[in-house]
Amino acid sequence: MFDFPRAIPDERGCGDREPGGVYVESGLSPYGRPLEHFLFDPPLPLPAGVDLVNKPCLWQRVDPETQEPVLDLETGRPVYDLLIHIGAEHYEYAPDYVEESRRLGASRRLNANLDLSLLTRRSHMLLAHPKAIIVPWRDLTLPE
Amino acid sequence: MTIDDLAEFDFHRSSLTERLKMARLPGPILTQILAGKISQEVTRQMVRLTSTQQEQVAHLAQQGEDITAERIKGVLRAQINTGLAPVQTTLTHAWAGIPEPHVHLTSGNGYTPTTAMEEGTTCASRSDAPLSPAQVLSILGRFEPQTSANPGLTRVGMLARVLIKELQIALREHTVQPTSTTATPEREVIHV
Repeated sequence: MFDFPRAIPDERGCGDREPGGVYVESGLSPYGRPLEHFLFDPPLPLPAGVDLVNKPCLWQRVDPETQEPVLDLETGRPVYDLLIHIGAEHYEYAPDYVEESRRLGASRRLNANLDLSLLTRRSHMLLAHPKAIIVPWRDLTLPE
Repeated sequence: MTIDDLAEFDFHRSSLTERLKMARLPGPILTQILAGKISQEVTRQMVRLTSTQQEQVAHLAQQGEDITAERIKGVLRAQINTGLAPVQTTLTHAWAGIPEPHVHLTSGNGYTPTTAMEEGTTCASRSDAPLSPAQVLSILGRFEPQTSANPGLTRVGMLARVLIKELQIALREHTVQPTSTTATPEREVIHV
């Protein structure tokens, strides 16, 4: 069993963990790259047809050029990533979740019916926030 | 009457929105839905298609083709994969400089010092730089699946698989020296 950094089980913007729930998590290491390294900057839109609200899903990673499945070099099996929605009702803006992750690590509840055996060490958690892309940017005013 | 008006009468807003989208599907698709040839589940998936994809499905329906759940699922998957391409590309670039997680079982936090081989991979961006074993493994890993589809490459495929196995063993044992003779880059760490 690998021993990765764990998230801190403290109360979060979306509340406390529920007994019996299935959670995916990642703690932070004092080493490595800053959290900002893992942000999409500029943020990218979700593809049309993706509905993640309350529906985290596993998505098979494909080569962006050939559309062929990306295989795990150790196991030869396809690599699956987790696509997860961060709700604006609990985290109004994307930085709210970023700052929480900086403090407590990332932790999201999953649907217990997901086939988690598809996840490997090469899987990524891809988090999407509805306000990550500022649509009415023309309406914004410069800070005083 | 708007959706807001209907919502005031306790109709579920998201359900109304979905039904409205269903009603706006192209004519040939609606004809098949009304004829009972397309299930509600498949219709729900079609709503998620772009208008271009919907038109293509409508064209197929017009030609008398069966609009099956599998077909729609395939179209939707291809659409999402195409949309995720920029994400995958960004991820590929963002993680390119980060060595693979050779996490030790006894490690407390996932921190792992880089090996000579991993350091070799950080020199990969220069086109004239020699390839490290990890890069060769990566290239072979992408190439090998193609050999099974081509009978002329059967023997090449077998040799590729043998080479992949040998490289994996060598990488695991960390005994191969880096092929690059350039200055050793600053030590990288794993961050999970």
